[in-house]
Amino acid sequence: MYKKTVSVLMTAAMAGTMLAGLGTTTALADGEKREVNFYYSTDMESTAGDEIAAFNASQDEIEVIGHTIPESDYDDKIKVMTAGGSEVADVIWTRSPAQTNQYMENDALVNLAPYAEESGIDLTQIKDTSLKGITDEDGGFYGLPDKSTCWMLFYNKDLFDAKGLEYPINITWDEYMDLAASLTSEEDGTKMWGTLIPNWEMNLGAIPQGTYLDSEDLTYTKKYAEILHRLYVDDQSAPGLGEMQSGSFDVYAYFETGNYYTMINGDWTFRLVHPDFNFGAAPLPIFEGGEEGASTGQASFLAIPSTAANPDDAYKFIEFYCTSDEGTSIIASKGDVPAYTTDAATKTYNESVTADGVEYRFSAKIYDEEQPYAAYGSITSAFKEELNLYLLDEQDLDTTFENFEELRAEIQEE
Amino acid sequence: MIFTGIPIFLGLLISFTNYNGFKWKFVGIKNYVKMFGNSQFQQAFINNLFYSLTSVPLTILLSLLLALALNRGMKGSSFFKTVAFFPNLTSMVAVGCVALMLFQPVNGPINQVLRLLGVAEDNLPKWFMSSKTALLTVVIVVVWKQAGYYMIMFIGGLKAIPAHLYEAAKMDGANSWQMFWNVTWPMLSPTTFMVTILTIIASFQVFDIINVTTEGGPGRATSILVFRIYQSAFQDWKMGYASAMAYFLFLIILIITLIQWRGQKKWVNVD
Repeated sequence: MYKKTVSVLMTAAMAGTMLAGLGTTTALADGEKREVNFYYSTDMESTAGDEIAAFNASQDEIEVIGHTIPESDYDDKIKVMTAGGSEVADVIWTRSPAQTNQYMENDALVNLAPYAEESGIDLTQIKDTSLKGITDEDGGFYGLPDKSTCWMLFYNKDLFDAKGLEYPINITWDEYMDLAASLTSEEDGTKMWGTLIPNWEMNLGAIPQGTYLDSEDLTYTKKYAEILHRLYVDDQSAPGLGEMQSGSFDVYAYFETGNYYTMINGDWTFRLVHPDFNFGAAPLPIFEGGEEGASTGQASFLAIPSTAANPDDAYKFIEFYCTSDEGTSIIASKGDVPAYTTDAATKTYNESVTADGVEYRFSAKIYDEEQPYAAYGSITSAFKEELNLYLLDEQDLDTTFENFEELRAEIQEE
Repeated sequence: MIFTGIPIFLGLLISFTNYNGFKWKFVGIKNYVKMFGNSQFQQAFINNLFYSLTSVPLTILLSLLLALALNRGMKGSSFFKTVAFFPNLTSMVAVGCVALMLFQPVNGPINQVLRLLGVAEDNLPKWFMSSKTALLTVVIVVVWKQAGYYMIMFIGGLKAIPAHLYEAAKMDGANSWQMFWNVTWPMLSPTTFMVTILTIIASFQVFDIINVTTEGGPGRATSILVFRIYQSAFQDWKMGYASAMAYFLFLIILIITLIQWRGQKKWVNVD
């Protein structure tokens, strides 16, 4: 009996210590300040660390404590934490409008509209853009956007200058494919690639045309699939899926090798490519007749779980982070574009990002990458499964879309 | 009871609901009905059967061959036993990351060696990047990793075979193959039975190598049951549906194990 009791107690103790650590704590509260526990992904460490320090320095009664979760585990751990009703987090970071909507649909987040009204913050500039996807029909919104992204075309200025070519500004997808094909060659055993285009966003070109994966008419999605097929398979002017999925394919490092004339990627490229690398940025290519400067991207958000112990102070931190001059300037100083634009942030961004073409980032008309509902993620996964087979040349375009539409119908029936 | 019984019971209850991590509503057997009519589940089940039918015999064969080779008492056998066992000590995630690089179809070392051996570019296998070869590539990696573990079991089984049986067989003029077939193989049957059960159960639990290398692709070529359960629970937030699939998996493993236990009376030699 004694041995059994001891073994049960030891097992309980082991389980307790296992459950205790969900992330790493950077500081413990001291004194009489009210604590706000902020959970975020490790890839935000630099920005979040500076935001926390700046906020804490401005406050006498509130102290924000940061908790990092590894980027690869972040989404799952936050889901489990919020679904389990954990009260440890006062502020969480959510990756996209779709993800934020998943929490909203399950009443897992606090409506920030009353707090914003009380503080008097003017959110007009983001009401119809980054805030739109997380606003309910009663006008309640469940997070504030910290930064937003935008897909663009980047080019290696040295390579273009060496060939005496004009930079690819405001081009169509057809022009882009032809340019990539013409620039692809092999020189002294080294392949020079016309372009580098990752397969992360498989509906990239169609979204600025207003076509999402749940649209009835998928004409532009098909056209974009054909573009990828031509680049990866027909012309081989971009590394294909086989090359990109080796586990060690760092697109930015590859772009910096100087063997790629152009690259399609997000505006985070300004931050991730070495500042000494001579490159420029241009608007994302568009379809013939499309809206010039149209692109796609998405905002991420800071939100307050409905189980937060300290929502009032949590909101003060969120508002500082996402809308204050100091908070938005910190975001901009890291090479990210704050979703809520302030003059101070714009000035800081232009000082920290000096690559040619950064002005196209601010003039872009950005369409959200995803539809803001939970099942859209399943539809995206189903599309990726079928499109990968097309891009590996294992099935034709019609079969790809037939199979996808069948799967989509199954998902939408649920 | 606390850490196994209660979760098992709760999981069964959840499988009759539409629980999404936050809210739930009783839906009866709807999840089970949906499961059998769902093309993604059907594909995952077929893939898992194929995976089991290939990985289990290959694992048993390789581990048995290693055990037979290293049980001869030759010089350096301890070293080679350690080398054969090493992959089992490595994390499957690490093995998967390395496998991705080794089997990279364009610049990976394996295809580079095949090119040097004269294999034409069009005939080079695409390994993880083809729906025809991806699952087989996973099988190769997993068999390589786990063979060392089962080799140890077979070595233990071989050492337990009484020497006088071999002496008697030699006196009767048996050759190596006859000694293996008439002495070694029957006497190893309890070990073989245990290894078979363990490898079959493991084959229905495979997840980490798939998650690291192919994520169920290309297409749904490597989507297997546990990966499908994970996708439903943690990407689609359909935990009730995922629980139903998990219980189906549990039943499959239970049925196979029961069949084997009943069959052991016929083919397991306990003398």
